[in-house]
Amino acid sequence: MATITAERSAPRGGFVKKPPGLLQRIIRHRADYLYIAPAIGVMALVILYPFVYTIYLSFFETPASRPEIYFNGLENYQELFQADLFWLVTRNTIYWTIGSTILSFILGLAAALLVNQKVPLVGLFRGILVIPYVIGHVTASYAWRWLLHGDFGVLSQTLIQWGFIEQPIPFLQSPALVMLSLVLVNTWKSFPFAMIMLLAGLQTIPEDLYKAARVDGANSWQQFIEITLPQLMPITMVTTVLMIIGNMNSFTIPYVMTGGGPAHQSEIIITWIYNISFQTLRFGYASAISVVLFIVLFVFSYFYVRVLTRNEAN
Amino acid sequence: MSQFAGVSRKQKNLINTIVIYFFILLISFFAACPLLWMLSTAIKPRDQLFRIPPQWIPNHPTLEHFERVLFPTRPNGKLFFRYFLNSTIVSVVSTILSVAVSVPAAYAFSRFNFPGKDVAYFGVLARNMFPLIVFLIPLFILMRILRLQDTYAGLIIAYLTFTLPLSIWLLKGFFDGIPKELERAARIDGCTRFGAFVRIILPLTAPGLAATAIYSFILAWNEFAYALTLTHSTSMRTLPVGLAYFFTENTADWPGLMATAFTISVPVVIMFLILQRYFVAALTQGAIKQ
Amino acid sequence: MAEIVLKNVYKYYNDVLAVDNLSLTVNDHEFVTLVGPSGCGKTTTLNMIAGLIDLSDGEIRIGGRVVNELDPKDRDIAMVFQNYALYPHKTVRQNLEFPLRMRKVDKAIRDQRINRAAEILGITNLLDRRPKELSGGQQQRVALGRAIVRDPAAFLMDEPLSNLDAKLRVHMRAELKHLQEELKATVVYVTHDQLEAMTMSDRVAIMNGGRLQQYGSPAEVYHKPANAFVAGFIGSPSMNLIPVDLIQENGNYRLQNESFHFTPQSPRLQSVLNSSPSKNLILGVRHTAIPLLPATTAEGIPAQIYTFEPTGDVTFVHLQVGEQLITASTDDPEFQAHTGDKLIIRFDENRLHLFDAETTLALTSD
Repeated sequence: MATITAERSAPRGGFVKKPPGLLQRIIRHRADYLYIAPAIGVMALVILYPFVYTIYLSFFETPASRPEIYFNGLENYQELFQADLFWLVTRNTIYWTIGSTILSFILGLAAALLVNQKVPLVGLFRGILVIPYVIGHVTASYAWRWLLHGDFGVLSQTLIQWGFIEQPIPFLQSPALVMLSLVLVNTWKSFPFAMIMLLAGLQTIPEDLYKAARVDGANSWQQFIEITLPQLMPITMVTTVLMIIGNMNSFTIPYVMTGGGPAHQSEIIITWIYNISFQTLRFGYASAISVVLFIVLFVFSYFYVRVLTRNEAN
Repeated sequence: MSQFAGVSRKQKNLINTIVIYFFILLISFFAACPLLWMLSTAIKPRDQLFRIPPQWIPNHPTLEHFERVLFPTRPNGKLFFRYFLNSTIVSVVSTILSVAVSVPAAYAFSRFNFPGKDVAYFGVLARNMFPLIVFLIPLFILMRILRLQDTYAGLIIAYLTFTLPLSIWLLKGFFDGIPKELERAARIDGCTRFGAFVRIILPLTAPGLAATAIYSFILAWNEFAYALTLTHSTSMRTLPVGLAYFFTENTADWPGLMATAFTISVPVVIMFLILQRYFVAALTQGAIKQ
Repeated sequence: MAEIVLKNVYKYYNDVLAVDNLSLTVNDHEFVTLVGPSGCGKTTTLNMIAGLIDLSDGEIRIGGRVVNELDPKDRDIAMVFQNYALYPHKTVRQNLEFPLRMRKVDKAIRDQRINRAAEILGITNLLDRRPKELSGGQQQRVALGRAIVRDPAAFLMDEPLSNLDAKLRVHMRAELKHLQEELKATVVYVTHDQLEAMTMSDRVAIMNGGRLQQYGSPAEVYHKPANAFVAGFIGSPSMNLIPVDLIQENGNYRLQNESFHFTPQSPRLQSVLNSSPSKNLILGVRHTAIPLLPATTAEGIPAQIYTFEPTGDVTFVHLQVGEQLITASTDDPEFQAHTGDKLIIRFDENRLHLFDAETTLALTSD
């Protein structure tokens, strides 16, 4: 009985099979492709095609008056970099993205730390704190617009009531304050996402590390710096990348709350592209801006992922 | 000796708990106050609206605003009902479609090893990097060409742009969590690969499917930009778009606006509070694996 | 180093009593093990000594002072964990340095202590590595190092060897014991493995259901178990514990159940049985105290081999005696065992234990 296997595994005549080539592997796995076919098909239609088309369109001029389009090479791109609004919009977008991400992250971290404690009814509060995330952007925008109303908004009125100011603050009308106000609203909307991710990260930290630190003499603050923060590094990276990308793509809150006003002071890149597309109907120009935005996001993601994976390897 | 020699450990624990509670209440108020103020405005009689200083709990709460904008007999109410219907149809159908198409794809990415798998999966993840704007203009043009502008079908297909990659990513995370031994056992027992998938694995991912469906539904329900751009007639508007148009057409009617906004949020918030667990699991499943 | 005194310590978790009126003293320089099955309260007790959880009632003293209200860092104790709990993003050196930094010890003294600890444990060449690059045994040593650099009044160890593979565990047992003797350290050690407890400790505290069952030297708890639980817990294979009835016949005391009967010959045992308040007893006899005799032997208890386990030097023989299964052993290399063989067994009366079936306490002669 025991000797049979030994004979079968010896190669015959020294012939060694080559590993299968690419075509062979595709044929062998042909059934697998059925599983992904519908998904890939749909995504090719609604994602790949529009993307390619946008790039194509960016090299054309699409005047509103006529149905034809004209090839004009890199002129759209030239126009973009010379546009008056370009720097303003870029500045606003960076302010919006970085500001929202940092504030949401800090608030989310604080919330996660609080909600991770074992106090009564903590589950209820965890639920309440996620509400901003699930309420629609439009609803949130109008709610805050009313809250921040330049004459009757409850925020201004309450501050007056408590004697901090004398006149109501025109949050959304003042060029100086409008971006700050929008960032505040976006922070309110996004911090639960950071909270949920960081909470999950906190729960993966082994309890024993904290016990060891307590015995070693670390107080709460030292435990936070020496254990919690370093252990949260991986999830922090993932969360901040997702938030930065998400924020750069924001549309609804700025569009609904101020439409980019007053006088473009709250115009960020997506609303700018949108307004150009659907107010001036210059799809070509708008496409060019979209392509530039895409390139920026792509480069950013690429370097970020490189840093991420290099950190992991350490 | 510890500097807290005078305070017992039990007392320290109590103080700790009180401080934590204080901050939790503070943040919770921050999170909830727009909703609360929205409700407060919606039940305030008109003359109380612009009172200074502002009142949180009105003296004579009224439901007249809700009645005015939501009752089916009123003109606004009819519109609202139509918007509600549109949102429901579009959200439900796009959720069902995207989950149905994602499930086999996610399973394939999780279990199989075919040439091009990594490229395809990267493509799925990469969609996130593309600003939605990049798709909006061509989709707008595409829908016009296909004569699908201003229709349910057009919107549903467009929604797949974001629901599909998300569903695949989430579901793959859930599939990854199921041990491969189960399928092997099933196949030894006589199932085909597909049979093992449908009869053994799918039932086990029920919570994951539910979570993914909920997440997709919420995204679709709240979606604004596509709905705004790809529809133009009043009868095709979804709730978020309807809300925006309500405001532009009735700029001073804040209570009416708040009443509508509040009503739109309620189903999602309730659904979310009940299904919290699954929702959070969905969000973190995929991320922790990375 | 210091002594540790527990006095009437209780711990409640809601309505569940995890530690029930525990009192014991760990002498200076002593190695004491808390041992028992899962859930017996040993880890809870250790955590209370460390200050990681509060007492419900009672008092704990370390080095003479009452520490109930003190934080772990003020109790001058060091702890070693089952999962090592090394700080993953710090190097070995930084791990060893951490407790000293927290106490604001001078850099010069820090380095000196770290180098000394590293030398004692043989990890000097690992100082710049990260925990995930180390093997289990190396990580365990770093965890020990982190405790040693503190030069604490006592070491508390929570199942430190449980995560190591069997061979390494045996090796580390010896190393730990040697280390403790070299440092003259006071150690409170927690484990569920009675062999670890027996081989390493000066004294063993056996716990079950939150209560202290017996506290004594390894020899004491092995040869003079205070109750049936200790008797069955210490020693592997476990002591045979057989329920029997006490019958008096013709002035002699006899033990019997439905499987066999046994009349002790020694006056000592007869006297013990005489003063027994109960008629329901438990007979305890270890596998080493059951001589195996051929079936032709005149006096003894008939038995049949159910199965046997040769381990090299010793063969464990599981015997069917009526309804009862009894484990015996022999180190006789000539002994031929076959399943189904019939034998005669006897009990070595000098090594017999008797327990009251109700109270489970050991019977002693007055």
